[in-house]
Amino acid sequence: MRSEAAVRADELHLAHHFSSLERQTDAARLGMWLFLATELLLFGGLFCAYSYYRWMFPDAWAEGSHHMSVGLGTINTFILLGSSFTVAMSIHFARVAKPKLTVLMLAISIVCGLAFMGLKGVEYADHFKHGLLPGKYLTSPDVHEPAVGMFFVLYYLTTGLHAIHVIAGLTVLSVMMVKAHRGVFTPEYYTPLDMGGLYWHLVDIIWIFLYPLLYLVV
Amino acid sequence: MEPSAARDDKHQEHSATTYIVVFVILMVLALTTYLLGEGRLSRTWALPAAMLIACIKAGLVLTFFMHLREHKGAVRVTVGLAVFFILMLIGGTISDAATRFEPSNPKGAPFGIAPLRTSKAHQTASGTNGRH
Repeated sequence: MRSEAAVRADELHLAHHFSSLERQTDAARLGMWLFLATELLLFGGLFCAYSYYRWMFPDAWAEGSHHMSVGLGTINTFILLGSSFTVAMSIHFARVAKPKLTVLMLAISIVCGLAFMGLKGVEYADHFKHGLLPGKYLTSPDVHEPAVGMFFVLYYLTTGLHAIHVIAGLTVLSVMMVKAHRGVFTPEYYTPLDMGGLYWHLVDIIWIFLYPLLYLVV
Repeated sequence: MEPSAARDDKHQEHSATTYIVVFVILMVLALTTYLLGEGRLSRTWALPAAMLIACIKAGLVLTFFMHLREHKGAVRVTVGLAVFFILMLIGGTISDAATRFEPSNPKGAPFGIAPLRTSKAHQTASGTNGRH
């Protein structure tokens, strides 16, 4: 015998072409993972370019990395890991029917994402101020290896694309927070929150690799 | 398709404690990456060490935060194939870069294989310009 909540969830969210909410959720999940795979391959092209140029210019890569603010990069790493944790907790609280805590966890995640973008903006401003720009626009007098310009090409491409994903992720999380506040998510139905969370975790995973590749080159 | 009751039971296995433990491990690993970077490992070991830690962190996020542990079949194949394709892409590119003749590398690149030594006598004898 199905619970009243499960029947109500079916009435509210089950599309006519699915036989059950479980099947609908499984289809959505597989679709989301396929989308995330294309995202991985999008970044994969940039990681490939990074690998090639780092192989060709190891000294320039080390020099370029020494111009990075390791402190800010490390703080941003902790912030994103923390936001991933709070997103996971928001889904956990949706599963155990604690909507207020779901909203709170999402709010903390959004604050973390905004803090990440703020610190990234501070870093970018500092780079611009010191002429640490990509390719032929590199004007910093402290740079000795000509190929450092290529390091900054890859730096801006990877972190720029990642920042776009952070903004998209923040938008998704904000929508999810509003939905959670309106009581849309229940233990029977929290698929959009689950999918939004997957996207945010991907953003975190990309940064997990970018951090040592850009900030800690020796 | 498993019944919803069974699914709910499985979800309950994920207590908040699991997430907290994973989060603490992730923070420790991030700190380890930072300390290793500041400790200035040799160029030979710095990148493999950093990538190993990054892979462990990504694995933890995938397994627990993204619930890959609960989802088998097509989802795992999708993730595995995406990672495999990226590794093929990077591996192929690096194997090309590592086995090029020096003149084909950009100026300043330290790696590569020394150019073939082609003597004029050899070129004359073979009747070619030496680009075998």
